[in-house]
Amino acid sequence: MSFKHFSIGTALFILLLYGGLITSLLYYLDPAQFLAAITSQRALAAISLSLAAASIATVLAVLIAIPAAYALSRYSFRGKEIVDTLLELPIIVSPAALGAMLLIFFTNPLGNWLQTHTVQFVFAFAGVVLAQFITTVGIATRFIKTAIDDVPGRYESVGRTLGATPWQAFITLTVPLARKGIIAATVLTWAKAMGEFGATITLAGTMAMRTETLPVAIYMHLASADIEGTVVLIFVMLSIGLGTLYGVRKLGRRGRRA
Amino acid sequence: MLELQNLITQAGAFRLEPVSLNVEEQSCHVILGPTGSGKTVLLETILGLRKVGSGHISLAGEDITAVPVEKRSIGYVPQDLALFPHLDVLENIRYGNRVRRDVNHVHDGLIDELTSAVQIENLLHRLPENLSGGERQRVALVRAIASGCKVLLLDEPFSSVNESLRKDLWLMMKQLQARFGLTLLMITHDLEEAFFLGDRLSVLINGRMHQSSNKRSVYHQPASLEVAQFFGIKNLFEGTLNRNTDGGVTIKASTLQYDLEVDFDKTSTDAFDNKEVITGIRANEVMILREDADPSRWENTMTGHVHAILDKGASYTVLFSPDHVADVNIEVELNSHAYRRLRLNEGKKISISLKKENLFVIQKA
Repeated sequence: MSFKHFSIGTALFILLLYGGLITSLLYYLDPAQFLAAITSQRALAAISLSLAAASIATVLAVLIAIPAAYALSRYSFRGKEIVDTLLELPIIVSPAALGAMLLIFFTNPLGNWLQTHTVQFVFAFAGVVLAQFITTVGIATRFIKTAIDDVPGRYESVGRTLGATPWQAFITLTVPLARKGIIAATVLTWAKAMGEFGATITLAGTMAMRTETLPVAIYMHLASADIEGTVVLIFVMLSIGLGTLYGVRKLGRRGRRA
Repeated sequence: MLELQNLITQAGAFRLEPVSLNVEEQSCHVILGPTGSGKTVLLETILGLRKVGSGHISLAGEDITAVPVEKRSIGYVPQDLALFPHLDVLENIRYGNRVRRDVNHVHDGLIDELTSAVQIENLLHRLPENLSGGERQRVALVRAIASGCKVLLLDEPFSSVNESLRKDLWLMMKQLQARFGLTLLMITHDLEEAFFLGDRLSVLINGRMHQSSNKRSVYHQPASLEVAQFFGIKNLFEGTLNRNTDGGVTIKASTLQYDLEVDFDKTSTDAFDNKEVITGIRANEVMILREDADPSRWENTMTGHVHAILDKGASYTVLFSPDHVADVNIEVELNSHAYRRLRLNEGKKISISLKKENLFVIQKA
């Protein structure tokens, strides 16, 4: 077997794996029940809560990740190696452990004080956002750093000799040149936030209409042996996720043509 | 215009030793040096992209050592040109004015004049990826000048284009300099480019400025063995310098086993008197005497034979072996016309002359 055939074979295996899993859901999909399940108040609440929380968490994560990634890419500073290593914390530690760490933090005096004087996080919507933010900010920083690494620092140097301040060079040169990577990182961050389960359930709980995101709702339906309801919610997640990825790709292509 | 006083900087393990030089207004000062000698580090330090270890940088009499990069008003054309790939040619050229928020009719007029001077008016809406090498060079130059800087630092800007285009760009650079009153500090390792464009030359080797003077002086009197070797001079002979009773100067060249008469500035011989020195001569300044010439009428003549001939297309390098000493070759550079007239071939008996005025002397380190 040639290498070409072997590599194409493995790519098709991935298609078979994921495609097979999605197709197998159809066995339990009842079209009559689909509309009723998707338009139920609880499902709609889970969908809107997931979309809202993931979007807020993504915006916050990307806003922190862009300057942080720039610093890690361009500057040498004390603690850089440690920050660089900790970016992978959400991958190394399981999401449930990360959620537990957050929960434990809010039981200590500082966490308590924060909750009393700012926002309630534990078993609240803010907790969902925080859990998703914590699990995505490191990965967003890693992706965006890779995008900034690919932009030669020489452009900023020349920009500065032409009169640009460091801020102007960053905004007018680095960000536009790293644009594709930043968009890809934002989409992946959002997708990861949408699918976040372990940290969310540990910190925010499973309160229907209040903290129940789509992944949590899927888990709750499955726990109560509601297979049809589970399948409907999985399809909703798939539609949102694949629809977003398709939309971003379309936008990317249009951007290239412009 | 641009003055460096004992400038020291460090880049990792590399250290730039104290550099002092003065680039006069509307002149072109070229810093020559081999790859890795610290030329780019020096330019980046002048631009403010690297921290100054110690020393001062002044521009038009004002100390700019601590002034931020964007406020120095020193234009820069790096080796890779760094045209912004997401902006078209006009946006690249206008970038400096855009970030300074001073786009106006005066700048539009300057941009029109510049783009017309370098003939890029029809390229203004192209992206850099769609430009040829020569077009990219011209856009990078125009961008630096259009930002309003009168002092430009050029980092081997013509190194990536072919030779005929490079010579066109040299001429264009001279015209731009004269027309817009530019002061240039350029670095290169190309000797031809340095001598064509430079009014004054400095030679930087291993982070140390070995020589800085007018180009004729750098050409005829290399200040150190390193400079002579960088210029590719092979005819270097060790010896001892002696002052004769008649006031003349002779070097007992031990490696050549010959007493070479040199035309050396008498006021400076004291420092060299009876000292170990190195004397040398460029290959293109060694004369091969015609067969009917009387060697006694020429200075420092030697007889020997042609050891080898290297055909370099436009010129020839002849390796001459003197009869009186073994294992020594003297390089002679001849243009094609002279080579044909002399009808040389390997083994042929010839005489050469090393004219006194063409021999330079370097004190041995």
